[in-house]
Amino acid sequence: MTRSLCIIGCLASQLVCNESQAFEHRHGVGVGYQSVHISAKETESFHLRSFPLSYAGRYGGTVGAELRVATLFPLRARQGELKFSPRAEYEHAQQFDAFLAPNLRFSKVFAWQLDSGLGAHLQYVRFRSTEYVEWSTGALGLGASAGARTPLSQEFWAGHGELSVLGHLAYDFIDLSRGGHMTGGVVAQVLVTVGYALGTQK
Amino acid sequence: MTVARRLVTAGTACLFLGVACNLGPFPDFLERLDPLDPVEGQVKAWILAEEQQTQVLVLSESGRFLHSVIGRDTAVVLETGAFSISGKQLVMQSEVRYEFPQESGAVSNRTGAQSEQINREKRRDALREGERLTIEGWGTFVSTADYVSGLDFSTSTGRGCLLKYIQLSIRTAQSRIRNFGGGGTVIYHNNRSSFSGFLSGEQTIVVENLLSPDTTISSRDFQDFPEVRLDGRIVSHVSTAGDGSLEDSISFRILGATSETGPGGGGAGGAVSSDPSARPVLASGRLVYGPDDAIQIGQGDVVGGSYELVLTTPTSSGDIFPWQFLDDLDLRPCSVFADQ
Repeated sequence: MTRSLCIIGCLASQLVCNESQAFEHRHGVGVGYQSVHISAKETESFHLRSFPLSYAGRYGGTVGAELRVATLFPLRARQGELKFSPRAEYEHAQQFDAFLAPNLRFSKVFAWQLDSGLGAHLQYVRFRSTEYVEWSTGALGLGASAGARTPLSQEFWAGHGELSVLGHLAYDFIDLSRGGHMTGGVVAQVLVTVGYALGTQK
Repeated sequence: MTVARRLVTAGTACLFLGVACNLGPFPDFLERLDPLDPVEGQVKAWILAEEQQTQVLVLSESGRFLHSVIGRDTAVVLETGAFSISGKQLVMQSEVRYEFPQESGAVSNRTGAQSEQINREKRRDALREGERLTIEGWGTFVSTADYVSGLDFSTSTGRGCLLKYIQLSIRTAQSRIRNFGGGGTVIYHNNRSSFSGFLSGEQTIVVENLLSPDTTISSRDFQDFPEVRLDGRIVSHVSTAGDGSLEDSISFRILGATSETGPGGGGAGGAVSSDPSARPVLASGRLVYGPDDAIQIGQGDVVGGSYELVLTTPTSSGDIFPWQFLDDLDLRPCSVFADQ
């Protein structure tokens, strides 16, 4: 058992990026797709599909922290047999998603820099109109993130430009807005961002 | 407590538009704020004052009912739906149930007014004898027209009983405002929402300035009970701790019955016209909450000040009622109930 753990640990340490960098910061903006499933105690579960407009940043070296914040445009909502477009039915449809996590950078695979982290997730949704009961929720949970980044050509921002494919999967279990009426929320988000990376090589 | 307490819920409204507070159960997607649609045709209303509660039953010619049970502590349980007369039985098919509890503790933790769709049938023997309606298991109601006509507006006791009757209507109306009285009132932040009266008109609610919330409830030609027509607005100004005051006033008109009578007879649905223009105004005036000697709010509850009842019809008068007056909605000493 101990030996097995050691082997796994050794393999993991091989994967972790061994390029020594004191500090880097990456910033990107992008778009993507988000799916949310929220379960409630008293009623059928809710599903939302949305279009995120997101900022994604990473700070640090091999060990760092990442932050993703997104404002989302709800595209479709579903509850049981009911399917509709929130922006068509509600006069205001707001959605917000944030993910903050310690993050570990791994070795490059081909030209792609990989990183991953575990951290806190926050989401907030509010649909309101004068006709319907406002539907809103705020929830906090934990999630895992992964990202792959590759440099763009030298013409982009003097070689600092990069293309990223990012994703996080989170489970929200702390009901911030309804006193425990939410039983859980599962959020999956995929982003494609374009940004720049500035780093200091040791 | 009562009106003001409900108005100041936004005073402790949660920051960030609802995050970290209790907005209550999830509504369904596209759930209507109030499924109640105004009734058409003639109506007849009945009232029964008991030791712990007062019941008001409004029956419409079109077969719709509103049954409001207002506790002496001002809590409300309201049901609406369809009714029919089957032989000697009054058959009530409840469709929506509203509950507006009397709660304590931090306003942000209170549930406030909630509603649920139900499908429940109740059958009770009912017998109408003129302006009396006896319903098995509930008791003998008198018509609200009789109650109103039995009020002596020349005495302060009679005017106080009028005020309590108006308050029954105000409380019944407030019970339909989803989340009202709880932290969930924040859903009306910059979101004016309207609710129809059972007979006519509408009331609206809007919350402004979350960090120093002002909650405004406006009524326009609002009628749940056939004798009480409400206009005007109540505004609360409170801190986030729920401390502050009320201002503005609600105008009321108390409408009498016309000579026109409906089917009458032995059925519970015997009706009088609900058309306000065809009915005499027995009394009119204003219920003033402030700013002079305004109702004071402390941590979400009324803790001081006075209600001013200004009567302009049938005679001019002004009465000051201490803030505790509307905390106990006991109508047994009033009008026809005092004679029983």
